[in-house]
Amino acid sequence: MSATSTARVAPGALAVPTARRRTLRRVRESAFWYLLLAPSLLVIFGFSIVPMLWSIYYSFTKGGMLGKHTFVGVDNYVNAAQHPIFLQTLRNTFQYAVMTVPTVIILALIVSIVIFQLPKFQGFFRGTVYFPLITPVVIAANIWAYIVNRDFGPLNHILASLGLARIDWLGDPTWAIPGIVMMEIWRGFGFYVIILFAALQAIPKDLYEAARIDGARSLRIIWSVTVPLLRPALGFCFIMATIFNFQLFDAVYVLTEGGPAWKTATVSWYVYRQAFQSDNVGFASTMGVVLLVVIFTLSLLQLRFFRSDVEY
Amino acid sequence: MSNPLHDQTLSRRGFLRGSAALLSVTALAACAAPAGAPAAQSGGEAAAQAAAGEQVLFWKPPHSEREADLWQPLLEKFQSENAGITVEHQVIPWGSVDEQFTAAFAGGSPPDIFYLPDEWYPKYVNQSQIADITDKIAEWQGNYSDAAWTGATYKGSTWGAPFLGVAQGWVLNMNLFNEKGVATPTNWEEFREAARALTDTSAGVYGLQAPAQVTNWVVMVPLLAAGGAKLLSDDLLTVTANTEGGVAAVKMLCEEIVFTDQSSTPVGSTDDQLRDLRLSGKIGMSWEETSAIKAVWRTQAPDLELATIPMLQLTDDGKNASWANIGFMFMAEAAKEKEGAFKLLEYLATDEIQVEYVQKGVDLLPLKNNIAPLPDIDPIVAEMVSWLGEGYGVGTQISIHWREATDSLVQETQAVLSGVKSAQEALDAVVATVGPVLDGE
Repeated sequence: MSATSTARVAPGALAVPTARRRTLRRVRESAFWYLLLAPSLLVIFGFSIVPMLWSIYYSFTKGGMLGKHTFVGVDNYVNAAQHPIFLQTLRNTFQYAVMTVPTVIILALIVSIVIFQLPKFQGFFRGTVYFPLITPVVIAANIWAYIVNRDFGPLNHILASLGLARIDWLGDPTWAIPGIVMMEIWRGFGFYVIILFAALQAIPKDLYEAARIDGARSLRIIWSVTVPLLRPALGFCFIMATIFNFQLFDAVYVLTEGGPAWKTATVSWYVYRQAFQSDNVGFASTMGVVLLVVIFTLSLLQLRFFRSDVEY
Repeated sequence: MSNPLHDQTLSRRGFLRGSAALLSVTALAACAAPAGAPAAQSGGEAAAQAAAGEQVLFWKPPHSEREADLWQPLLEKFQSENAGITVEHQVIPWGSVDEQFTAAFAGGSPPDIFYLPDEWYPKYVNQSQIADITDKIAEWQGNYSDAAWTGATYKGSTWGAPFLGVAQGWVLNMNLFNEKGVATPTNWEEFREAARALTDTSAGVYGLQAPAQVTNWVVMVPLLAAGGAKLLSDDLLTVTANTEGGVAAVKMLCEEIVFTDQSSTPVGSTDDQLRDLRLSGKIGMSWEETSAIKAVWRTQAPDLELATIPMLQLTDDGKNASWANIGFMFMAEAAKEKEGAFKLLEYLATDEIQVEYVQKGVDLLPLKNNIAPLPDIDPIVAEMVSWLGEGYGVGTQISIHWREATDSLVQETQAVLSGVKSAQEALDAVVATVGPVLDGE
C-alpha cells in the first residue's frame, strides 16, 4: 500500500523542513570528525586564541606580570609611536626580514632545482641541506660566532685573503644584522628546499618535454615553466618565511642580546625584555599587537599576490 | 565529485559509542597522570603538612659549578637539627631567573626561601611576592655593615637577609706584562699605554677585554665613578651619567682605548671566546669577580701570574672604584606564615654558612661583621676585598628601573666601542631613553 499522500501542498511548504533535515544530516555525518578534532581545537583555543585576546586587552593597560592592571586606553600605542627603542626594533626587524626572506627563498629555489636535476643521491643532499635546521639554535649560534669572529674566524680569513678588511660581524653595528641574516639563511633554507623539491616533483614531465621540443633552453624552461607552476609553493614559502623571520628572537638572544647599540634588537626580543625584565607587560603587549598586525597584513598581501591562476 | 568521508553516515549509536570511547580515554589519561617531584608547599598548606613534616623549597642561582654539592652537607645538617623540616634545594640557572621566578610566583608555587642579587629584587617587591621581614630580623641589623643593611632596605622596609657580597676589579695577566716589559698601570695614561703595548691582533693577543658583554654595567658603573659620576641621582629621579667626568671616563676607556687604539678584544666576541682567550693567557687586563680567581683562574690557568687594580681615578672628583654588590636571602610572601621557612632563613644567616659556603665554598664576601678573612685567602681576593674598606666599592642603586637603566647604558656603550657614537652622544641617549621612565619608585 502506498504511503504517498496525493494531497496538494503549497510549493514552499516542504522546502524549509527538507533543508533543515539536510543540514542536520550533514552535521550528524560530520560530528564524529569534529569530535576527533575537538582536543586540537581546544589546545589551539586555549594556548593561542585566548592568550592573543588577553594580550590585546593588556595592550590597553599598564601593569606587570603579577598584580593589577590599570586601563590606560591608547596611551601605550601613543608611547610606542614615539618610543625610540621600539621604533629602532621595528626598523631592525624590517631590515632583517627584507634581507632574509627573498634571499632564503631564491637560494632554496636554486638548490632545489639543482638537486632535482641530480640523477642520484637526491635524498642525501636533501638531508644535508636540512641538517642545520635541526641543530639547536644555541649550538648553531655558537658555531656561527666562531665562524664570523673578527680575528680568527674563517669568514674573515677569506675576506683577508681577497684583500678586504676584516669585519667584526657581531660587534659592528653596520654588519651585525647581516651577520645574523647569514646565519639564519644557513639554518633555515633547508626547510624551503624540501617544500620546493616536493612541488617540483608534482610538475608533469611532459610540460618540460613540450618546452624542449619547442626549442626552449634550460633557463627559459625554468623561468617560463617551472617558476609559474611553483607559484603556490613559492607563495607558501614566502608567507612562512615572513612569519618566521619577523618573529626573530633566538639568534638575537644567544648571539648579541640586541646589541651592539640596539642594532640587532628585534621587536620579539624587545617584547621579551620589557615583559620579563622591566615587568612592563602592558607596553610589551602593545608591541606584540603591532607586530601581529604587521605580520598579518604582509601575509594577506602575499596571499593575494601569489594566488595562482595556473592549472595543469 | 562526492566526498567519500561525507558518504559515511553516523548513526546515533555510533555517535554515542565514539563519545563514550573518547571520554574513557580522557578519564584514563587523567587518572594515570604521573606523580611529579614534590610540589612546593607554602603558606596556608603548612598546617596540612605538619603531620607529614614541613617541606621548604629553597631556590638559588649558582655561584659555583659545584653549587649543589656545596649545599648538600649544609642542608643535611639543618635538617638533622630541625626534625620535621625537609629542604628541597634547586639550582636556578642565571639565564632563566626572570622566567622561572615569574612563572613560580604567577603559578602560586613560589620557592619559600630564595636568593636574589640587589638589582633583581625590587621588581618582586612591587609584585608583592617578597615577604616584608622588617620586624622578624630587625635585631640582626647590628650584625651587618651599614652598606649591606641599606641594600636590603627598599621603600622603607627590610626585605632580605644580606647573604654575600661580590667584588670585581681588573685582573692583570702579569705573564704578558712581564713579556712585554710593561709595568702595572697607576694612572689612565699608563693604562692606555699598557693596553696598546700588550695588543698584537695578528697573534690573537689583546691588551684589554672590551667591556661589551650584556653584563657590562659592572664595568661601566665603576668607570663612571672614576669620573665622579653616578648612573642615577640619589633620589632615583634622573639619569646623572652624562656629567663632564662621566663623559670623560667613558671617552677614555671606550672611545680612545677600545675604538681608536683597537687595543681590545673584538666587540662581537662571545662569552665562550673571551673565556678561552683569558685562560690561555691572551688577554692582558680583564674585569673579574673574586669568585672566579680560585675556581677558574687558579684551577684552569695555574701558570698565569696575576695582579689586580681597581678602576683608576680619572678626575679630581672621581675615585678609584671597584664593582661591589650584594645578594640577599628572601622569603616569599606566600611562605611568611611558615615556620620552617623562617628557620631556614635563620640558618642561612649563621656564621657557619658565611664561612662554609660564602668564604670557603664560593670565595665571595661574607657580610657579617664578625667573619674574619680566611687564613689561606687568595692574595688577589684579599686585595679586592681591601678596596671595600677604602671606600672604592660602587654598586647597584636599589630601584625597579635599575635594570632598564643599565640595559640602556650597556647598549649605548657598545655604540661608543664600535665608533658609532661619541661618549657624550651615548650618555645623552641614556638620559633620553631612561629619564622618562624614572618615576621615583
